[in-house]
Amino acid sequence: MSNWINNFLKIMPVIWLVSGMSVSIAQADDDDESYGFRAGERKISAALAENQKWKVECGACHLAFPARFLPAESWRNIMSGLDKHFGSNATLNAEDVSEITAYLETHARTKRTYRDESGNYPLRITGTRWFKREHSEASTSAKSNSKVKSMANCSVCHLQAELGDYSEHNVKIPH
Amino acid sequence: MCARRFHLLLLIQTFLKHGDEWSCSSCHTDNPAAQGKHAKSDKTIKPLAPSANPERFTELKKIDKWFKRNCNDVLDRECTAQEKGDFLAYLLTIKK
Repeated sequence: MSNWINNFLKIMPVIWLVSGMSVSIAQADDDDESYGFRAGERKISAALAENQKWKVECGACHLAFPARFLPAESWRNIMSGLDKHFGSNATLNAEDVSEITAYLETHARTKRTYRDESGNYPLRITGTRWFKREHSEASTSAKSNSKVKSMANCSVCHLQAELGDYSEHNVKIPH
Repeated sequence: MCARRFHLLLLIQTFLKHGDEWSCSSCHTDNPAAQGKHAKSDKTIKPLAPSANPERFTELKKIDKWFKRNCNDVLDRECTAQEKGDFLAYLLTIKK
């Protein structure tokens, strides 16, 4: 037993050193990463593989909203109702629908805060609890701001939204 | 003749526009050679007329997709082949 402890104590500095190194590598990576996004307590790297079809098709009419903003159930509901997509017809051919749906599902979030207050899966990102919490102050001023027009116009305030960067230091609310 | 008929249809559509109903001009402005803006999202839309945007009507998949969407948004139905032809003939008369 004491032998085991002895061995453990011998390799302990090595474990400590290696784990310390990997943490600092991760942090360095984080600093370099300009696609950071703060959702609650977790910073998620948005260096996710982007899907070209998602970018082109969703981005044709509005900003291509990141998959990580909604749960998979929400995306499935959105993608199965494209003929009535928030007031307009956004139908795609079956092949494109399934490719984009698969991409969105893969990168969707599953946390509870990604649902609405009743625990339902919202169709709108603005209906999620995380969005409301993150924008509780901005919502009040944005409503009276004609330049914002809608809370779905991410890029009005999130200057790097087109690049997938929604981090707080790239926010500028127009006056 | 076809172009004129479509132009008339377009004018009627424009004048019929009221409330939340959409016409072509809601997003593409009254001038097909001008840059448009999505009625809801404000996203910029490149000009519709090929004279101002040579990329227009060059990809079949894209043409089918947008005719289906926009005819449904404006007319609540798909357009007939005749209407699509008239529309293209009208757009080709637009000078930059």
